[in-house]
Amino acid sequence: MKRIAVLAAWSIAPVVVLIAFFIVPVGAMLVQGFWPAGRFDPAGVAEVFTRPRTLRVIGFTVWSAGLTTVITVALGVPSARLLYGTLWPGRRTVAALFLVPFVLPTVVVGVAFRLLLSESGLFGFLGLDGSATAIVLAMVFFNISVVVRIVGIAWENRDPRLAEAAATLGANRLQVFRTVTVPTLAPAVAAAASVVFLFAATAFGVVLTLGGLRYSTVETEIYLLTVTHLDLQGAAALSIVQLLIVVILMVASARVGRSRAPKSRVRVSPRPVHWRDAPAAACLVAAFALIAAPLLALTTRAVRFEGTWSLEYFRRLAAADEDPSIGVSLGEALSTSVRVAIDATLLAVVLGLWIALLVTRRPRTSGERRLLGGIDAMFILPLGVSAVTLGFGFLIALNRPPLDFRDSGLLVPIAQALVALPLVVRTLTPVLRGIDERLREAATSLGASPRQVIATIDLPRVGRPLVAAAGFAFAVSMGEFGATSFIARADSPTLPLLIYRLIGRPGEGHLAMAAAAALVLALVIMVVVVVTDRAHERGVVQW
Amino acid sequence: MVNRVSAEVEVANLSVNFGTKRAVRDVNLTVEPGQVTAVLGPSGCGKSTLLRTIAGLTEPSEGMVLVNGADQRGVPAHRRGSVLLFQDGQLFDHRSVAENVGYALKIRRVPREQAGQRVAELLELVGLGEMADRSPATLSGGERQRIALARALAADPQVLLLDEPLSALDRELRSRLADDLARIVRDAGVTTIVVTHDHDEAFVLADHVALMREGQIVQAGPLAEVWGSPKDEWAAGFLGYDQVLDGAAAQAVTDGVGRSFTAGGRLAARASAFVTDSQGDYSATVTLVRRVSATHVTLDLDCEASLGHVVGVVGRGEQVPHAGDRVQVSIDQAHIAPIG
Repeated sequence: MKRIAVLAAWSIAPVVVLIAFFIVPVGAMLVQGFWPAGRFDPAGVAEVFTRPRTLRVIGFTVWSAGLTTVITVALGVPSARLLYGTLWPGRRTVAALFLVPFVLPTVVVGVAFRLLLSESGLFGFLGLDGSATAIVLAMVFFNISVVVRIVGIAWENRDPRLAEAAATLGANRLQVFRTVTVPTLAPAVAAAASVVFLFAATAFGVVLTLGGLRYSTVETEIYLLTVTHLDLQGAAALSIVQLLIVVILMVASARVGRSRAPKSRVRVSPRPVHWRDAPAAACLVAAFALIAAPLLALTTRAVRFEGTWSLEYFRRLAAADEDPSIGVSLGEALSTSVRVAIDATLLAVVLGLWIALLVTRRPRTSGERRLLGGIDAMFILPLGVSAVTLGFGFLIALNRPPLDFRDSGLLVPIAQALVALPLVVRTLTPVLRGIDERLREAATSLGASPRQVIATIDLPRVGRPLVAAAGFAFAVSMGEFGATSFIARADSPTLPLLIYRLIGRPGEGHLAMAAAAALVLALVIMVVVVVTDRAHERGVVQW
Repeated sequence: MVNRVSAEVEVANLSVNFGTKRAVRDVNLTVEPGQVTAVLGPSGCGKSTLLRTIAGLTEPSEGMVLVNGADQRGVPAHRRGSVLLFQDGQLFDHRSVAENVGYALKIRRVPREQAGQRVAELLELVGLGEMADRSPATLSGGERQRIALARALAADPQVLLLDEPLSALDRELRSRLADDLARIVRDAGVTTIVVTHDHDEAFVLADHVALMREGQIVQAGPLAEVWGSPKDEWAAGFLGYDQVLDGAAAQAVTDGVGRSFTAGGRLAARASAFVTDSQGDYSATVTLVRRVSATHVTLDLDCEASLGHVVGVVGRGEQVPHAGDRVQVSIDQAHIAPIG
């Protein structure tokens, strides 16, 4: 069989999965919007854009994402330089703490910020509860780790000889900074900024928990329109806006990312701190405070009851199934979450590895190049479509034959796996692309079939990243809220859904219970991520 | 050593295009069973592409490769029985040296004991018997290349394809490994095509040579034949001739050595064709003394009569002259070849 036919055959399974669980549901949602009552009515969708509220929502989305990006970069870049470029006691611990927000579920962050800013909270006097500022701060909290990570690694891998060369050519400190440092870091900063804007523009859980009904982004508006107003035309219109924003950003970030400089082989050793670093240190302290304060507020609220340390709220959570307005205990919700997350992780890892292996085969003809390029592009799609759109699409498309998954326990895991899938693919493909193609050719030439090449060349190198990717997929799945909120069955909610339910109940007691549940969720996720990341770094897992 | 019967390789009207770039253009080449052929050409001339196409790693745009008369189109690379040895070995660093060498045997599910024995044999053959359990990452460049060769031979190839096997190595290591490589390849009796840009490497390894330029074969044949009559000026230059003589100078040389080269033809000459010699027939003025290496000096000579300007060397037992000195020069016809 011709190679292209083999590659095409291996593409069938992932493409079928994508069509059934992504294109069909999302398409169904769009169809409902454009063909209300079975008649094509694009005017109805166009009309959505004339509503003042729609424009306000789009405006708020762009404004909040833009502001978030500016603040995150302003705080994150100096912090990254200090964390990854200078030598001081405790910097590793602080650097590790900076990575925590990235894996925290949105609802956990939402609860933490509500606690911090609510009237009885530490910063309640600021009166920021339910304000746009609170939303932006929470999104900065989330994304600062993205900037610190991307810029920090670029900073660590920079070639110090360039700056040295400039200095020997007579450039002073400021000139070196302007002519060497800025151009070398610019691509990493631009890449980080575009990722942050993307995350901020598609944020859901944070906005929903903090903004309530006053502030709405495109993503939460889609949710409100479908769930509370049953306005599918409005939701479809906004879904298209969302898709456009994301596609433009992803194309832009891919452009920026590609121009990144090659990794230097010369290791840069961190230098001691200097008084010149004071402004950067101020940024670091501010960023640190922004990360630590909500986590602290969350933790203390969860374990303090009537002025003393107590596990009262955990006790109440454990018995919450007796309260009909909550209807589920912490244990039940946690076990649902873990079961679903395990299934979702398995699906995401198997499918992600499959796709990563497929798209990293070197095309030998232009036909093969088109096929593999197409597959590669196709599986970035799930990143671009709002989780809410996906969840709602599941709800309306997968409830009738031939795709009747209503009562299947797999619906939620499948949705979460699709949300986690791009992450898995994006973790694995760079590793696989990093393998010298001539190694595979050497194996082929020695008589190894394509399958044997994968088994003996690709898989041994992808083992550790795969464990890390599985850890992240698990974290994403445990915390997934947008899609899950549509399709999880009311009698067996996941932990994030339980938290959201608790926030919606009146009374400080319920908010404290939400904090306790959020703490449990955060701890489970952090343990999993730390363990898998360790395995990744230390090589516990050997293939 | 048990070997598959060596194969005849025929490249017929082969072209390879990359987009609009024509890397290989209508190449025809036959390599007899057991023969070692060097494809010699400058970098970027398409010789590596030619080799990869024979290996099945690159698809031909036109034409075909035949092994023992069988069309190889549609035969995947891993079933071709031809093994490509890369410039830098491409050892699998996550496997030990012995596992690298035994790779092809493991792929074919050869029983462990038998495979182990064969691996030990091959490691002995390349002189690295004690390295079996080492990691390839700890080996030197020359050792890596030896292991890569052993690994290729373990696959029991019908055709061995060597892509610049020595060019990544230091000068000194290169000549030592070249001798070993030549011996091992000849002993194995396997049809071999070696691609190189270094004519010395070609001479040590091969018995046949094909000169390649801009995707085309310029000249091919037994080594001595190609060496003895380069087809054109470019071929002469690439084969290591230092100068081309034509017109009166060529005539003067022809007359001087009393050997009839093709009348009126041009001649290719190495520097060693013109040797300072106090008994020599020609008088010349040294215009430049060029120290090429610690032991080797070339001279720019302005000769009397029609010979004109030539590059020469210092004869055995002769003093190294200074610029401006008058010297006598004799001609060594063994280092002169007619062009065309």
